[in-house]
Amino acid sequence: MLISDIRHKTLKQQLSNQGLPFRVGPFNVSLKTAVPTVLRHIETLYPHSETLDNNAFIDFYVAVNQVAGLRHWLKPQVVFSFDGYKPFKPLPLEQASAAFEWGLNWCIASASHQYLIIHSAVVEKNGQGLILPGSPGSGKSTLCAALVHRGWRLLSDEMVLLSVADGMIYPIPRPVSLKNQSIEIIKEFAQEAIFGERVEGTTKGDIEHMCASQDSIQRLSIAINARHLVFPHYQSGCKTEVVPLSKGKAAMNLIENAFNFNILGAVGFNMISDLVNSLECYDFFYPNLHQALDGIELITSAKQQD
Amino acid sequence: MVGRCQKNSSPSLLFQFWGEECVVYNALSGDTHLLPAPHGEILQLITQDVREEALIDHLITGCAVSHGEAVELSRSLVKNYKKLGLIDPLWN
Repeated sequence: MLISDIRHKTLKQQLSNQGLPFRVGPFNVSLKTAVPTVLRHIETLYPHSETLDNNAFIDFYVAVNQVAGLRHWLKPQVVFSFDGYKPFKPLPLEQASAAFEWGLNWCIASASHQYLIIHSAVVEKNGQGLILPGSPGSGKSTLCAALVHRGWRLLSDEMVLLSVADGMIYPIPRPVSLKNQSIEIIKEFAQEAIFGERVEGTTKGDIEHMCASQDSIQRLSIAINARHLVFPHYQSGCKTEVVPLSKGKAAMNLIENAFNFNILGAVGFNMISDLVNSLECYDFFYPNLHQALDGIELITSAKQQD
Repeated sequence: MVGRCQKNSSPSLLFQFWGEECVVYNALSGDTHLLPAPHGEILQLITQDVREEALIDHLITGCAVSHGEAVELSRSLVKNYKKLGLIDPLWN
């Protein structure tokens, strides 16, 4: 059963009582919350996700709850918890959906060392994976959101899950997090896209999440090999430029972007080496989204002709 | 281009060569270093406990430098590698 198959009232009851177990990429998550914005977030942005039996093995028991006490009335806050542990300070109530997304990111990055986890978007077309790491402001998520509305499959806008067991990249399609100006850019670019509620004034600015496509959720068991590694660099007014990146520098950049490289140690080093061996690597400078899309098509189609 | 992953006598160091570059992972510190390939080769030789003359010969061949320059470069590399914790501080 999909989340969209559950009636609103039943979903609300399940979330606030025993918790809703559902599949997120290769993980089973159980979410408990009575916060209305999180309920709406799940309904709007996870409609295609498969729910699980109550006896399913759960990787992450998470909750987003309102903080009790006087604060509850004066300045309502929410706190994210994982197995009862609260890794973060409470956030304003209006940021509850962001607290869920960020908290789940933290759970996965902290406790999933069967994968080397690299902070990056990853998409796929015609069996060819494209990894898009990026620092804040590079345009990674904007580019990722636009690509998935131009025929690319979303594996993740946030993390590459590179399996220690087989070296393949496993999808974890979740809502794409867009910030500030990117929100309007993508709303204009992909008018069919479904968005959640705007979360204003977070530490990252204003945020809206864009729903992952049904197709990407349905294909979440299909792992891929990557073929291209592109470091996007948005620079207003710059000339579009694709600069080949040496494999040594690419490896160093990936290591810097890996959440758990130090935990995996030599295993992680060999995985990065194998990954980089299989990739064409580029730095990509672009001044706007349309030129970015043209550039990505050029990079990836040139390789397919080889 | 497919890189060469090379083992060496120091179990704490892993080397990956790609053309003119070498990436070295130090399992003891968790640090990763990007080096020019000839410098990575010198580090490999050091971990194989070769004599200084062998390093100098390798630099003369690999970096096309004079004997004097090779001596200076070899000593500078050894000093840097000691500082980075890549080789034993007592290596000579």
